[in-house]
Amino acid sequence: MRGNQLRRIGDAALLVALVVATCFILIRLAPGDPFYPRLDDPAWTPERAATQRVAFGYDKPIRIQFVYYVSRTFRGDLGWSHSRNQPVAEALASALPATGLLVVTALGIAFAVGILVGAWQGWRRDSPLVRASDRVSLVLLSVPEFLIAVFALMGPALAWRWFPTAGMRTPYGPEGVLGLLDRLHHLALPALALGLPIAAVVARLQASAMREVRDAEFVRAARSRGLLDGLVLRRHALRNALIPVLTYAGLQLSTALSGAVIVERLFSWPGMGRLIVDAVGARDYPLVAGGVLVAALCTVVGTMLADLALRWATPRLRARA
Amino acid sequence: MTVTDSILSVRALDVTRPRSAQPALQGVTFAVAPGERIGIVGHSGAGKSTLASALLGLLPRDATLDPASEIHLGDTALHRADAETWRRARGARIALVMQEPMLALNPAMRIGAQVAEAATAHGIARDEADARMLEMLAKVGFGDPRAAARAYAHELSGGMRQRALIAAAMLMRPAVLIADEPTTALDPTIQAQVLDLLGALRDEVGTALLLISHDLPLVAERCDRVLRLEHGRLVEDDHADRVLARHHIRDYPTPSSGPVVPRAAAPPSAVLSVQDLVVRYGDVEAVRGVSFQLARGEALGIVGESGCGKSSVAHAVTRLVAVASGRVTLTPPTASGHAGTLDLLALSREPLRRARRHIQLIPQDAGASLTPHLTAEALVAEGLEVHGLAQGATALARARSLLAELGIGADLARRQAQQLSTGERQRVAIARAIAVEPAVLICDEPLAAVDEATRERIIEALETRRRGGIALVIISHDLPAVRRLAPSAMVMYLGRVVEHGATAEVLVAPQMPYAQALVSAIPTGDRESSRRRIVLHGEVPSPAAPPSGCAFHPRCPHPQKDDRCSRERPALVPIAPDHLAACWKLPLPPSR
Ligand SMILES: Nc1ncnc2c1ncn2[C@@H]1O[C@H](COP(=O)(O)OP(=O)(O)OP(=O)(O)O)[C@@H](O)[C@H]1O
Ligand code: SF4
Ligand SMILES: [Mg+2]
Repeated sequence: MRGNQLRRIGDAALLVALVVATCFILIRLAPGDPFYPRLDDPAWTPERAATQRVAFGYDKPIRIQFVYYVSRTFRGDLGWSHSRNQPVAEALASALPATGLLVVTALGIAFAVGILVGAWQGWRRDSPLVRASDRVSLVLLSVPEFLIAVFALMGPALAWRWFPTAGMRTPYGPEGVLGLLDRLHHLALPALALGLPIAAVVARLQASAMREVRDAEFVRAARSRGLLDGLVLRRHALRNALIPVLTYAGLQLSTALSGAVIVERLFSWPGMGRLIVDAVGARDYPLVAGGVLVAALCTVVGTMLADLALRWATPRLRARA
Repeated sequence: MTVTDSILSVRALDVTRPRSAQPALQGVTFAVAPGERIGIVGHSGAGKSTLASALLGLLPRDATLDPASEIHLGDTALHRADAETWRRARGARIALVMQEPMLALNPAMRIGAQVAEAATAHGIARDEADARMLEMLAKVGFGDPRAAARAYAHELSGGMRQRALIAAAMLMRPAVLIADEPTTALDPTIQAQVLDLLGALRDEVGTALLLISHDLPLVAERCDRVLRLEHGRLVEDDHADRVLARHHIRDYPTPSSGPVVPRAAAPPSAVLSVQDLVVRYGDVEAVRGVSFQLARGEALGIVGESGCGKSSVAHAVTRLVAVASGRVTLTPPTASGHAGTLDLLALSREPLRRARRHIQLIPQDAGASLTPHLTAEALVAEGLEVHGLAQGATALARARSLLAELGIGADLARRQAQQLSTGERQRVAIARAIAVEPAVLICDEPLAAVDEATRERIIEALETRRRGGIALVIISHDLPAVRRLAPSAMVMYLGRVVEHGATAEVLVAPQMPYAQALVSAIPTGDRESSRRRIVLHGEVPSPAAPPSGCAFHPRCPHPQKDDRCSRERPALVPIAPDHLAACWKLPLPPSR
């Protein structure tokens, strides 16, 4: 059991290392560097760029740069962000909480809504309402989140003005309880835009698992003991139908993170997504690499959490590990 | 019998399935007296399980109960009852034990919780329910009820799972217990244990028992009355002995005649010779030194409880699993161009592929492994083409005639494998193996999942092949079938051969105590013989940690079993000409 855990952690570390290395190499293959001529920078001169390149080690061969990068990263130094003129770690730290809030809320919505709706759809399979809701989830499933985000912006936010269109809070807005409400108000649309398509995926998985479990012999056995229908659903069907969903849950974190890049941009959410997109535009390599590292770590942690949940739901797995 | 003095009475029960023309049940009428033991028999598809579901109000969605049907449970008219009344009856007054104990238990819930909920569902307080649950678990044979309550389904053996389900069903002391094929998924020795348990609980609680089974002798031994269903109609309702007398073909008192094959040395004519075969899966030693030889036209039956290593022998001999040690040689007919004897375990890929033609395996659940979108005839013809025995139209024609022999007509032969029933697929797999005319044919449970008529056809086809010169290995739980097909037989226990000899001795009058228990567990329909049955106590030990000495000693009922049994392993030695057994307590023949 212990050996197994260790191997898993080893695998995860290897994965993160691979992601970071790939990212480092890919980004270096693209033409240009942070000191390329920039139209908006009147201070740019070829001489200055050349000095900067030497100062930051960009004149060295890529192999050497990679070795530097790896050894620095191991020492906890993620480098200097040229576009923001601050340490990468600081830039990331300032954006991480916003993204964390957005992604965690979106995933919360996705799993709560998805599991409940899916369970209900699977259990009462043939009613017209189920068929209608199934169609809705199909639509949500096939629509990319940016479209939902655009519609959410156009309708509730721009046209009807129910929701704010940008940011995490009203500038110079209220503090205290009202401030909290203000933040929730800002959070609602982006979180829904990010969470609903995932909720649709979860709902479909949950519904099909539920349909299968519904006909399982052990559900029939539970019925034959005279259990109330609701209890059969909660105690016997739901937990077993959660297994495919949990298997899939780890992947959802990375889906949400990549979705966040777009949603954050549309809602001007001051998070990692925006930070990384801006950094790519500015060819701010250290910042991009730092962002990818954090995202990879998050995904790995997410997968591990999902794995733990799966173990909880499947005693058989616990025994085998 | 009137409605009032019966505990369950059913009148004009009609169940229809909108999607099929034929009603699932039609005009079924019978009554059950309190404490009565009734057997319900019929072919697969006759409506036995539908009847059970209807009586519990748990019909599948695609089936409907005709409004004119009547079901009276005591004085409750269930056919008119609402969902809540049904629910209250289920589990409390009428309970169910299902066929597949593994599937009938929730894999994510502890056993105790699943048993106890049968009481809490009917308003019994949690503590009281737990107390009753523990008491019932002890009663159904769990030595340590608390440990059993904490276990999950996968931690129990098949027999123990079924006991747990019986505990759940009997917890509320229902007036009627329906057991739907409660032992078909279990080994013969465990089967007898579970049926005895059901009988004992019935006697104690006074529950009426409806025992559903396709196995008429089994039912006749344990029931007073037998109902027989055919195509959804009740065609017989009579005393058990009379139904048995009318329908049961006593098909096996005379074992198949032919050469008997336990020989220490390989006969000069052996086509297959296996010596000291050992198979390991990680720490589990599934096969621990098995030897046998087979010549042309000989057949060997391998029997023993689930997990004793029968399939592993078959897989090792055909090189589907790695062999840890031992020797397997195949001597195909010389006409086929092979140079004499092949050391099967040493063959490299290509020679092995060519040798496979001569040693065919029909695996357990062979039907399930057929390519689903190919037609039956194409599947059989494919085998011929792969081994270069026939091509195109010739191959198809050969395939068709073989399938016809096994009862798969032209119509079925053109269907895709996925459109065939389990039994039909099974026959396609058999035809595919027979088609290439191997020298050795190994059949792993060839008769599982087939009805009586199909069973006859398969037995006949195999028997014809054997007389034609194929050497057969038959692995089966179906001892009567093995008796008919194989002149010699081998009983395995935990990876070892414990008795080996002529079927007429080994499977009729066995000597080694385990073989005796196994053979006595075959239902004959005769209550006398059921009384003489040897019911083993205790569970099948895990092959990962086999008991010391004679591996059977913890369960052995032999009166003279002693220390030596648990210390030293008895060797497989001749106890008579052509008869080997491994037990310390058997008299050895006078030495020459
Ligand atoms: N692939 C495998 N990996 C690990 N263990 C296995 C494997 N196949 C079989 N075993 C184990 O080896 C032992 C012998 O299994 P085998 O399938 O040969 O039994 P069997 O006699 O054919 O049983 P049955 O009557 O149920 O078909 C069992 O304990 C089984 O759990
Ligand atoms: S050797 Fe002993 S334990 Fe084994 S079968 Fe014989 S009597 Fe029983
Ligand atoms: Mg097997």
